[in-house]
Parts: sequence; C-alpha cells; structure tokens
Amino acid sequence: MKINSILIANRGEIAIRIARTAKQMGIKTYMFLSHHEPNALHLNHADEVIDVSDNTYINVYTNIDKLIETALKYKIDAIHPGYGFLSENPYLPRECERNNIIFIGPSSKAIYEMGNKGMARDKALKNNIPVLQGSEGVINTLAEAEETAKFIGYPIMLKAVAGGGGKGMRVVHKKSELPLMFKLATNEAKALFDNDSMLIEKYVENPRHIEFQVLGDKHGNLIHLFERECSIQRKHQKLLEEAPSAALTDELREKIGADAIKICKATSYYSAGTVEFLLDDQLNHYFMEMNTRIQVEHPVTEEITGVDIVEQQIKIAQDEVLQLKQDDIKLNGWAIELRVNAEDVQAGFAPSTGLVELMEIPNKKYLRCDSGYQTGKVVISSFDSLVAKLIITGKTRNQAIKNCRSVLSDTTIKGVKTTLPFFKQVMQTPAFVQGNYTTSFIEKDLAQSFFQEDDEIIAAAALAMETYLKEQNLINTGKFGDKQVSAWAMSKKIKG
Amino acid sequence: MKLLHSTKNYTLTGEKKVNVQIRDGKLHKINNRKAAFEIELIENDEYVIKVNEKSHLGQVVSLKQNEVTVMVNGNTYNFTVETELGSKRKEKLTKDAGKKVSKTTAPLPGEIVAVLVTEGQEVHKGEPVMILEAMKMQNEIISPINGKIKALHVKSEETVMKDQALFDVDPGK
Amino acid sequence: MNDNRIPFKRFHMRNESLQAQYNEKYFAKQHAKGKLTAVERIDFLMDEGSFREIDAFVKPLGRESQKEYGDGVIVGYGTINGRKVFVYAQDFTFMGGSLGSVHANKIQKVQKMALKMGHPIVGLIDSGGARIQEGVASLAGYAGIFMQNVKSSGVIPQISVILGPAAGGAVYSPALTDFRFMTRDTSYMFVTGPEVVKEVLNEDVTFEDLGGAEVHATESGVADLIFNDEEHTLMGVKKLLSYLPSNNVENAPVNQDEDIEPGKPEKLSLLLPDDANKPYDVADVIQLIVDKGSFYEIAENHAQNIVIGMARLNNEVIGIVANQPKVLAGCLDINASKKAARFVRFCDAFNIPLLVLEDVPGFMPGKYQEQNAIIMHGAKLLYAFAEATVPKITVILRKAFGGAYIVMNSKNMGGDFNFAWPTAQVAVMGPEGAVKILNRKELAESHSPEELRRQLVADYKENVANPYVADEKGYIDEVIDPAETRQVLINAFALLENKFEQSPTRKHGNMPL
Repeated sequence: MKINSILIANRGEIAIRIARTAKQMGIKTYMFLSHHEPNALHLNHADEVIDVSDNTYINVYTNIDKLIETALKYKIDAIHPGYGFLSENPYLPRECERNNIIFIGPSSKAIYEMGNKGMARDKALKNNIPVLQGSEGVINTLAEAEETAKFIGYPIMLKAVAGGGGKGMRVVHKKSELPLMFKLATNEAKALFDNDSMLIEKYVENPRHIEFQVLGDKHGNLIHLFERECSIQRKHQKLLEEAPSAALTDELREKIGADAIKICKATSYYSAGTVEFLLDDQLNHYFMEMNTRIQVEHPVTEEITGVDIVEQQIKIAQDEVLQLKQDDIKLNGWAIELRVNAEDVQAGFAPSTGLVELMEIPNKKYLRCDSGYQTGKVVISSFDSLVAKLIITGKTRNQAIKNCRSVLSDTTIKGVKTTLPFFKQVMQTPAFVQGNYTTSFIEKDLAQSFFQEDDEIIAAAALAMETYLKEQNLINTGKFGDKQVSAWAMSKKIKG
Repeated sequence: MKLLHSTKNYTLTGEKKVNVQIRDGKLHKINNRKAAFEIELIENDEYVIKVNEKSHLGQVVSLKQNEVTVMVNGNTYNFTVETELGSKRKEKLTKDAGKKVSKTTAPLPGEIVAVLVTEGQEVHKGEPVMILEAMKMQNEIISPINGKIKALHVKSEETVMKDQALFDVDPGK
Repeated sequence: MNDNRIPFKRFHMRNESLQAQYNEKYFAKQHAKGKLTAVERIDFLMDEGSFREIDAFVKPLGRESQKEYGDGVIVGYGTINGRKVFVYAQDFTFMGGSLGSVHANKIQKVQKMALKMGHPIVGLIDSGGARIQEGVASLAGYAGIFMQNVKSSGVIPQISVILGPAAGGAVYSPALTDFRFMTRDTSYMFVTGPEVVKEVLNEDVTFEDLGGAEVHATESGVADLIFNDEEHTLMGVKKLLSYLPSNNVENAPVNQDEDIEPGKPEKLSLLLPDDANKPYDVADVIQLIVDKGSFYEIAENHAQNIVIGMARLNNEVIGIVANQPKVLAGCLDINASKKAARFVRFCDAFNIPLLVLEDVPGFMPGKYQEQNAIIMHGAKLLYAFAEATVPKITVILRKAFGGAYIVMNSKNMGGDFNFAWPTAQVAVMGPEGAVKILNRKELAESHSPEELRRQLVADYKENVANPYVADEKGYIDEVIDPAETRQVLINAFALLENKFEQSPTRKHGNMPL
C-alpha cells in the first residue's frame, strides 16, 4: 500500500529530517504544534500543522490515543515516531494496526522482544551470538550475588532488572566491594524503580561501543549498512559518533555484521534497526541490545553509504521489497557526527536552556547540519538538549577530523552554552585523533572537558579584574546628584 | 594614618590562582607577566580582550561583592577577588578553623528522583545520597566526606534549582 | 615646622601623643585576629582625608590618669563619596572595646548631631559589651544609645556594621538600626554567649553556631548583608549609602550614568517556564528590568522565598520586593513576611518608591506556620504595604492567588499601578486546588477522573486563572508585554514622582507586631 501522508509524531531535527525525505517522495507531512514550542522551527517544514496547543495537559508525542485519533481524523496513512518518545513502545504499532494506520517501523512483536533485555539475550544465546557471561535469572540476595560473581569472575556489573539507559548500574571490581555495592545498587533500584531485583553480567573494562545499522523488509530480506563507533559517551549518553570504526578490520566487520543479521533474522525483523555490540581489547564482540528505531546518529551511516535510511523505512513500511543487496553497499569515506547539545560542559554537562541568541553554522561541502533550531528559537527544558547535529565527512578519517576542526572554528552559538568547546578539545586529543579510544575516553584520555585558547585564563582574569575595579571605583568615587523635592510635593508636605 | 586604598596586588582564586598587579588603577601585570592587555567593549555586554595581540571574546556574567563570573570564548570562569589584606586574613582564619559541617548543593537544576538515606544515617565519602534527574540524565549526588547525615533539605520528587541546598553531612569529632 | 608658641605647643604635643597611640603594636593586636583596627576601618570607609575626629582625648571614667585617649571608641564625621556621614568605631584593643559611660556619651554625642543635622550614621561595632567595672553607669550608657537609635529611626538612615563581637545588651543598638552588616568568621552577635548557654542549659555551642555571620544571615535574618572580609564589608556599606537619602525629607541620590540599559528586554518573556509549577529565578527578571548592574540585594540568604533590595530605574532609586519561585515556590511564610514588611517600611520612611514583582501561590500552609502566628506576621506585610505612601507599583508575573495576592500591594490595598504579564493568573486559588473543591462531586462520579481533572484544570485556566478577567474588572490597570515592562515602569514612576498621600493624624498606628 502506497503511503500518501505521514503524521510525524516527533519534533526538532528528526521531524525536519523525516519531512525532508517525505517531501522528496511526494508524501504529505503533518506535525503537531504543541504548547511547549508554539514557535518551533520544525513547523516550517510540515505541509500541515495540527494545533494541539490548547491541550496543555498532555504531551502529544507520548500519547498513543491522541496520535491514533489525529491520524484517523485527518485520514493520514502512516505514523513515523522518529526516535525517543513512543518509538520503542510496542503498543503504538499494535494500535496502528488495529486502526489500519501504517506504522513506519518494526512490528510490535519485534519491539517487544528486543526491548526486553532477558529475551534479547536468550535469543542471542540460542543463535550462537556471543553475549557477556551473566546470571541465569534474577538475583535477590547478597549470597546469590556472591555465588554468581564467583562463577563469572570479577569484575562484574550489577544491573537493575528494571533499569535501562545507564540507570541502576554498578561495577564491582573485587569481592570485598560486593557487599557495599550490592547494598547501594539494590537501594537505588528500590528507590528508582520500586524493584530491587538484580542481574549480574561480566564487566568489560574499557570496551568500545560498536553498533550495526540494519535494514530489513517484510519479505525476509536483511542487509546491514556497516557499523558506527559510539564510544565517546558520557554516562551512557552518546556525544560523538563516527562511521566506520577505526577499530574494525574488514574481516571483523563481516563477522560482526553477520551476527547482527543473524539476530534480526531470529526475530523476523523488518524496518531500520540497530544492533549494539561491545568490543573488548582482544577484539571479541558481545551482543548488548537492539534499538528498534531510527537512531540519532543515523546520518553518519547515510553519509558513508549513500543510503537514505528514512526513505528505506518508508518503502519497507509500504511493503516494498528491499532493492538494496548487501553487495551493493560500499564504504565510501569517513563521517563524524558531533552532537551539539545545549549543555554547560564546565558544569558537568548541566542543561543550559534559553534563547538561542545567535546560531551561525558555516556552509561547507563536507558539512551536513541537522538541526531543529536557528537564531531566535528557544531551548526549553521539557525536551532533550540536542540543538544541532554536525555531520562532517572526509575521504579519510584524518581529513574528516581536519574538516571537523574547521567547522568548529567557524561555528558560533550564543545565548545557551553548548558542547562545542568539548568537541574542540576532543579534536585536539591524541587518543581520538589516532582512533584509539574506548568508552572511558572522557575519564581516561581527555585532559579536561572543554577547550581553552592560549592565555584564555589570563584574558578571563583581566576581564574579571577590570569589572571588579570598575565597580570598586564606582563605589569609591561615584558621584550622585541630589534629587530635589519638587515645590508641589514640598508644599503638600508642609501644609499636610 | 595608614592608607588602605592603595592596594596593588590582588589574588583571583578560581579553578586556578591568578595574581594581578595594579598600577595607577589599571592592569599592570598578570601572573607576573607584563603583557599588553586591551579590553574593548564592542556591543551590549561583549568585550574583546587582547592579550599579546591575541583576541578573546568575553562577557561579564555576574559580579557580586568580590565574586566575579566572566565568560571567555564560551567558557565560564568564576573568580573571587582578594586584596592583599584579604588573602592574609584568609590564611590566618583557615589555619584556626576546624572541621566543618559539609553542605552539598544541587550542581544543576532538575528533579530529585530518589533520596537514598535517612537523617542520622552514616555515610561514606563517595556514597550516593540522592539521585538528581535533569533532561533525562540521572546524576548521583554523593557525600563529599565521611560522617552522619545531619539534615536532608529536599524530598523525593522535589524540583530543585541549581545551588539549592540538598543535604548536610556532619563529620563528627 | 610646628608653631611652638605656648598654646600651640600643647596642641601639637597632644596630637602627637594621640598619633603615637596608634603604633605598630596597636595594629598587630587586631591583625593577629584577622581583623582591622578602628583607625583602619574609618580610614577605609571615609573619603580620603575627610574624617574629623571629635572627643578624641577623653579618658575613661575614674581612670583619668590612664595613658590612652579615647575610651575605646573613635567618633566623628566626614564624607563618603562626598556625602556627609557621622561615624563611630569601637576599638577592641582598648579594654576589649567595652562600653563605659564616657564611651557611651561619645556615641550619643554623634548620634544627636547626626539627627539634628540630618545625616546618616554608621556604627562600626567591635566590643566585648558593658564595662563591668563601671556598673550601672555602663548600662545607662546603653540605654542612652538605644534612646537615640529610636529617636533617629525613620529620620536618618542608621547602619550598624558588626566587625567583631557584639554581645549582651550591645546587640540591641544594631537591632534598632536600619541595616546590619556582618563579616564572615570574625563577627558575632548574641544576647547570651556560649559560656552562659553552657552554664544555664548545659548545651555545648560554638560562637559560630550561636551568633556567627552565617547564622544571622540565613537563619535569624538579623544580618542584612554579609561579606567575606572587612574591606568588602565596608565597601558594601558605601554601596548601600549610595542608594539612600540623607534623611526622611530628602530624596535618594540620582545616578548620572548613561550606560544603564539592561539589554535584551525580549528575553523577559522567555524566563518563565512553560509549566506554571516550575521554578525560575526572579533575580533574572529583576536584572532585565532595572538599570544595568544596579540591583543590590539585601538579606539574600534569609527567607529566600522573597527577594528584596535596592535598584535604580532610569537612574532613580527604587526598592524591590519580589516573590522567588525557586524557593518554596515563592510562598509567603513567617520569615518572608517579616523580611519584606521591614523593608517596605524602610523604603516608605525614606521616600524610596516600591516595585513589587509578584508570583505567589499563597501563604505557606502547615502547623508550624499557624502555631507560630503566620496570621500576625503575614499581617505585618499587609500593614506595611497599606501604610506606605511612597509610589508603589505591582507587576504580576505569574501567580497571584488568594490572600497573598491581596497582601502583595494589590490595587485595592492602595497600589498605584497594578500591571500584569499575559502569563499572570489572578484567582482565589490555583487551578489544581480550585478544581478539587469546585468539582469534587463530578470528579468522584467520573469514570476517568484523571482525564476530567486535567480538562477542568485547563478550563479553569482559560476562564478564571488569567490576567484578563481581573483586567476587565479593573483590578489590573493594564496587561503588558513583558518586553515593555521597563519602559512602562519608568513612565509610571515618573507620573508618580510628586505623589502625595495624606496619612491620618495619629500618634502612631498599632502595627501587628
């Protein structure tokens, strides 16, 4: 069934990104105008804007009923969830199906199965895909934990069953640490998720985070679009991604790629998806989890393969047979994505909201900028802090890094603090330049989290001192005029 | 009478210490380096600061008493300006001061999603006391010292602003 | 060369021996404690060479043979930024700065002069308390000082700067003055010291916990301003004086600056979060309304749910009272009411116009508040605003609910202008609370109470909790664009420049103390 219209159930850069491809394909797009962001940039990119700003009591992007109701009301063929929000909620595709709306994404079943850590792990085990050694079933007592840890061998990772995205995880390096760490982890899990059950997994020190982009159709065809390296993370939040990875040889690439396809086959996966692996220092890979949606970092894959992933998602959703064959996919050059977030790097990446007073992005052949903001727009705290994705390409990795430096020096964002100073520092750090880095990059290799120019602290001190002196001078020598009481007021005061 | 108005040497304490010498009310030397300093207001609150011919873009964020925050090339610098007398006084007083109750404030605005301890509970340095969530990121707020929780100032699910008091830890005797 | 004729010879000798009193040993004593001497403090506070000491050569009662002059206090007058000010500075190096009758007389002398001539008085306090040796004469000395404090109250600005101990009866003079400055780590104020506490209650308590600057600036609210060191404390005094008139007849001094625009007024409307229950920092709002860098916050660490301070608007001084949504959602409680009420009365006494920035969800509920008389304390703020005859303007930024709306200088309480931003919600109570009461029955009977509740809340906001209903009934004069707030206020205060309101003749009102 051909899709003629799409409801984009998302905002910001990804809404614009989806609309771009939809427009090329001649598909009409609908987006929401929410009370949070009535002046959002993405609204300029929609064919039709649905004003839901009166519904101040809902978040439209996470309200399945509202999405279905809207699609039916406006007779929209399909819903694209983007990333975040409802993109990995199995109930949305299920409700879509019930109401004859096309869901641009995988099946409800695939989202459900791969979203459950235990199920996904079992599936990988069953298909001989390497996983990290871990506990069988959940752990509820310290004694159980000790036994399992002994069996697996330290270091281990304690993981809350109910946790996710880096929440409720703790590393234990040796036996003596286990009692305290177990107590902390269970306390925390209890407080956060009201469920203190734990999983134990072998902990890999300083791994690399490698993920494979896959595409599959509803007819059983599956290919992968190579890997992305996402090891530059802070508290499990990715900051910079590149494709391909400097760590993989062609042989390894083929091997891990085959595993990625294998696990997708096992769930009859279709649409775009991402299979995440850890790579240890011996280059052993372990299946971690699967993301059943389009990823923030999909552009780096698009840049090196020339495949429009959103286009493929839409085609797959309308039951087309995948035209791309694995052999057609060729690596071409290098791409790096910098996530420019509205965060104060110096204050531990604290969110920095407010008016984007100035946003200047250079116009370069090797730069693709996906952004939901421009000068005059406002970053609010209700949504994530992503301001722009700078996707920079080069023939080689070195060329791409050189291009990154050039883009960074020509990019200006004022009004909110951003992660730009962080990337400037990354581009100066040898471990990154050599491509020899792991998920511990920020703690281990980065001298400090932000870039400083030569003599910058001197300049700062000079400005601070000048400001202070000016104030002291004003206090000491300020001349204030007298304001006379007017005759009118004086006469009133005297006569009463 | 002895004049104090003539203070010439200031210490700016922040992440790093910077010494500033003033001559005739103007910047003379910074960190004992005599460089050509030029500060020019370009628009609104923006300054161009030239140090040895290299230009830096700066803004004054705040000035309160002797605490100045500036932003240079997009980086924030907090300084406490101390006069010669002030520095001497500080040295003297820190020498005399004993152990103090440590007060922890919110490093960033967000929501307290969990309080992991109760008042009076013993905590170790580095042990998480609360979890603060901001923009879908969870941050552990850890105890800076060994001691007992003297006071908890916030509850679970409470929204906090940056620098809001979270808890006090008493190191005991 | 000194003139050595007979009358002059003695004159020079005396001056020289006074100078000799301030020798290295004298300075070293205070410096060893991290403190400055009375001489240095005055020197630092006053314009260079402007200070004239009076009564320099007096000696303590019954100790006329004593070598040192002054009886532990330096008093006199001079200028601060060209403005005439009376000063007294207690000298801890002389008998611990203890207050004897001669010492007290000197202070009273300058207090009387300041009142008679209409100039501010600054007391630099560093004293061990009453001089035990002089007995009741010393106590009578305090009484005289307090009496002068009260006589001068509301006539000339009185500022107390506590730079060392102030114990026992000595604390009541600062308490009677308009502002108290303290220095961290070296100044203390308490009625009974740690030794007495130990003796009577058998409690161990440190000087710092009992009456240190930090405690008074946060918990008790006794200290209005605290600083890291003495130099900056005295700078702070100078700065405060630049906002104050010399007496209750004059107007506050006018600045002459041209570079005063605070910049980017369009940012104002962006400061408020979308969610009406989310906090923001009202100080950011103030900074964008008043002259650049002119806001001088007072008592910023005490009762932080309300912000008070001096500022300039178009170069003229105003006093600001603003609810602080980032602390306790900006609720009015006992401490906030007291803090603001005192400030409002100070401004009214000294012809300083008032600007109220309102975002208040109500009075703080709870047993503690009720049992500790929030009724009477809240009434203080109400009384203070109602009584004030200076120009007073309110801008409602967001919430203005119930009794707290009335208190915060509402139109019918005599507010000269009430403006509101489009984000304002003027109502008897907030949407959530109102729906719970008004629609209790519907909610109880509904199949999906949560959804109905949300719908009702949205309806309430649309129909009740907005500025337009109040505007259409005249309780708000004008709903304004946040970006034009500064200009609207400048115009309104200019209109009010010659406002005069008659207070009824009476001895004094009976404020709910």
